[in-house]
Amino acid sequence: MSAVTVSSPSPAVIGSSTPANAATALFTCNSCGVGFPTPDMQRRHMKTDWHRYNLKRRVATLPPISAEIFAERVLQQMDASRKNEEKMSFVQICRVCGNKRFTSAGAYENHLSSSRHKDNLKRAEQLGLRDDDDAESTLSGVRDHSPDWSVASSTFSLGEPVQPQPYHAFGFRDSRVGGGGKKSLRRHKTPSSVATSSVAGDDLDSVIGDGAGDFLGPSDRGSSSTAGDHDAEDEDEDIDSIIARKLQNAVKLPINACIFCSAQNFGGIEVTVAHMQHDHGLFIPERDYLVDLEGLITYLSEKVSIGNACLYCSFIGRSLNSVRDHMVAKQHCKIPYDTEDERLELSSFYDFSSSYPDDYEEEDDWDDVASGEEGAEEDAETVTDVSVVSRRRADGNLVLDPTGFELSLPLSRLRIGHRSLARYYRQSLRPPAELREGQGTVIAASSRRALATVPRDSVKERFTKKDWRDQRDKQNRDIRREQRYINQQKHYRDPMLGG
Amino acid sequence: MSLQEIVIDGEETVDTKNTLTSLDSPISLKYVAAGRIAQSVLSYLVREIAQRRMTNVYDICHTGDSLIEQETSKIYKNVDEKGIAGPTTVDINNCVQGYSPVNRETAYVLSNGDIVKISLGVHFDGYTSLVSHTLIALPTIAPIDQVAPTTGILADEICATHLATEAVMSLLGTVLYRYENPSGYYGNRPVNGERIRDLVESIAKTFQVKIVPGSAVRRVKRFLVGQDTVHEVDVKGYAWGSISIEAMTDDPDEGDLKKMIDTEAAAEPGEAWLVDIIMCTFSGSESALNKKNPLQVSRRTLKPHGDLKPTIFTRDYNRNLSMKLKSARGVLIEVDNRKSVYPFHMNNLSTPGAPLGIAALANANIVAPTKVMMIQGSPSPIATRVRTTVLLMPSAKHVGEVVRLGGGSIKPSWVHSEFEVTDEEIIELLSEKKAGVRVRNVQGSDLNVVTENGAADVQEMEVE
Repeated sequence: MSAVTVSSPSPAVIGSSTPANAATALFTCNSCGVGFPTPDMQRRHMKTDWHRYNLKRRVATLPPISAEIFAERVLQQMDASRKNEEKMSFVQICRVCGNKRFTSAGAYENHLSSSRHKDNLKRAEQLGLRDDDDAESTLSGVRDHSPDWSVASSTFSLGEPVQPQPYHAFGFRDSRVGGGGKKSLRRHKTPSSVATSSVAGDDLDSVIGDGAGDFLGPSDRGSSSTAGDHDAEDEDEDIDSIIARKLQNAVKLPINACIFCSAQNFGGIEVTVAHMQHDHGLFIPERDYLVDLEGLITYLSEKVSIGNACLYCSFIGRSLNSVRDHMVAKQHCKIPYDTEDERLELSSFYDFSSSYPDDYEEEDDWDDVASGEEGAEEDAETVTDVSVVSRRRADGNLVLDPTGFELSLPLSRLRIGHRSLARYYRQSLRPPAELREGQGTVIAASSRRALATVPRDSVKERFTKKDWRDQRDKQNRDIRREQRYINQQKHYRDPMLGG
Repeated sequence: MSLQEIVIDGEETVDTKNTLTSLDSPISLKYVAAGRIAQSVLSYLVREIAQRRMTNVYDICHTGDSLIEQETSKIYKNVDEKGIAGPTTVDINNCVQGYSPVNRETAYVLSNGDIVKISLGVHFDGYTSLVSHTLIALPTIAPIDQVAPTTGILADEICATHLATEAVMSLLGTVLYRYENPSGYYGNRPVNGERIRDLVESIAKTFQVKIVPGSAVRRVKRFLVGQDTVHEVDVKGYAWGSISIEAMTDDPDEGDLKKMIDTEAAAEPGEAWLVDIIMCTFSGSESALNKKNPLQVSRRTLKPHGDLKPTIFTRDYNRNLSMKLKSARGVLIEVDNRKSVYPFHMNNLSTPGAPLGIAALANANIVAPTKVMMIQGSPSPIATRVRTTVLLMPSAKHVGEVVRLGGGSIKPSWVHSEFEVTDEEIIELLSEKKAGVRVRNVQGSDLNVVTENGAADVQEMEVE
């Protein structure tokens, strides 16, 4: 009757390709059967394609596959699709018209002579976007999949807030450029364009193994240009020329001009900001920590005036007026500040150092720490953003765990807890019971019961529904009849008040 | 996390740990060892009762349990999980299951003419042999002195139970030559729960007796032999009604066990099957019979005894609660330390205040009691039970054989029934040739507990 067997593996628990890992880790993924030391890693794992694929397999009651096999399959799939593409005799893509694809020569020629294509071509030439889509896509590919890149680029968030250069206006985040139809603007190496998370996801062991000195390694490596930049070197020059051209054509907005309308010549930057807040609803986030208001406003106004880009979405207008119209009409007169990428884009105008906890510098709050020269390594911190919780110090073999409440000494395998959690460390919990084979078999057999699907009995359901319907109809009929006689008495008496 | 390991292990279990390849494989040897001990203890107890050396039920149960413990401790010393798979119970007359008293003073004492059903179980590493046997406590000293066979409705019943067991075993055995002899009478049809039900009910109809809910012919697996606490989902075979505790409150015609059991699936060579047939003389009203199946007694008629409290319990490992009562905690620790998934007897607990504690645990459903079940009727009905475990052992060289673990070589009481089986198919199953199925009985050894015969010599298995 039921398809689930007692002894066949259940999808929920079988995925133990790495059972030791999954068994010891606190944060696990049941679909893929892997464990993680930190919740952050677990969350990031949930976003991977591998996890989604395993989730779908689980729905289809198939056993999960390991990451290696998944990667192989992806490669196979890519191979297959590429071959498929090669097979097709005629494929033409019109990049100017939003990567439109033509599979027959006639259609393509028709398209080339169409007025829409000509319009687009003209506009594209104005904007100077022709063939750099390839560079963009390869670059974003590297960024998405290579951890080297993310570690390296995170080092850009170091340092003081930098006075924005003119070309900062092009420092769009990849997510925006990728989401928009026009990929004209390439991400440039600026402090404000850094868009990655911290090293929190790194394996603890690698940190321990590198030691304190080596821990600075990624930062050093990151400050030189990475592989992706080398590849895109020649495109850089193209883009520089485009930027120069755009700068010439651009309408430069003065600092005391409103970004969203044509109002100008305000008394000062504060008045300008007040106008934008009052009339356009612009909200500047984290005012308390903002140190460079002028820089921020300049950055925003250049983004609008030179880049003709909407502040909030990926819209890129043809001119300053068009993007202004767009922002006002769509109520996009606001600064996005939700995701980490968006915050990092503006992080150079902020200084959050005053929000750091005081005991961060202190040493004596720890229960039992032997070595003490930790302050020197302060600069090794790769993360300065407030949203990143995890901090760790690498001091020889002393590692602070991501929650910040535990120091682990990997050599002696001891862990030192924070004093404030002493009561939890003192409690002696019962160790998890070790099941014998018989108990395991019995529990496994019983737990399948919940997974077993009960087949629906359509006949029974029909009768149940009919019963409900009959009951409801009867009630309605009774109510109707009652209402007919409700006011037959000479003097109306409310039945609620009683006789 | 432990469950994960178990289930990984379970992958193997499907292929290796529940499939019998030959009589020399480790799994088969464990089954046979369990069967041999079960057979030894059962034959010992039967002899003691027949010779009227033991009349107090407490003595019988206690001796049975201690003999099983003693014998299992001698072999398979590296196996942790072994021992009693079912405490010895002695059910008399209309009692069907679960009577194993706690006190010697208040225990039932056998009297002449009682129908005695002895049930016990032994397991090694989860490979279980459950056996039951029915005999008549006779007034004479030895059964040899008996002058005439027992006749009447009692004889019909004993005949029906034994013949049904034999026929089911032969029917199960036909799967062993199914592929070699496809043109034969039995060879071309799979043996599934429906066929087994038809066979047993046909025999019951012939002898005009009723089948008691709780009878079952089903496949057993390692550690899973139909405990009340376990809800298996893909059980092959057929179960008449159900006397599981939860099912008692439900609609009597749709027991839990019945829903779970797959009556369509066919038996395969290399499996172990439990044959548990309980029948009763029943002359009550029509309403006390199951309406869907008039050959079966309604479960309303089969009731737990009001005064006899359950003494046998099974730990439900899917439930965990922390108990308030001190004795309950003590008992739970003791039970968990023993770590058996099989039923245990209350007398085996050493914690002070165990009866109180175990009652609290039973209330919290942490342990499931095996209730003392009685069939009720106006002329008090009498139940008989034959239970055995059989291995459908394939063979590489020739046709495989059915290995009967326990109960085989103990002869039933001398009875004579006036009914006769007329169905040709059943006659062929019950004939000398047994439809071409070879049945091999596991022989027990003489136990040296009370008898002073010296060391028990283990006999080789004999082909009957």
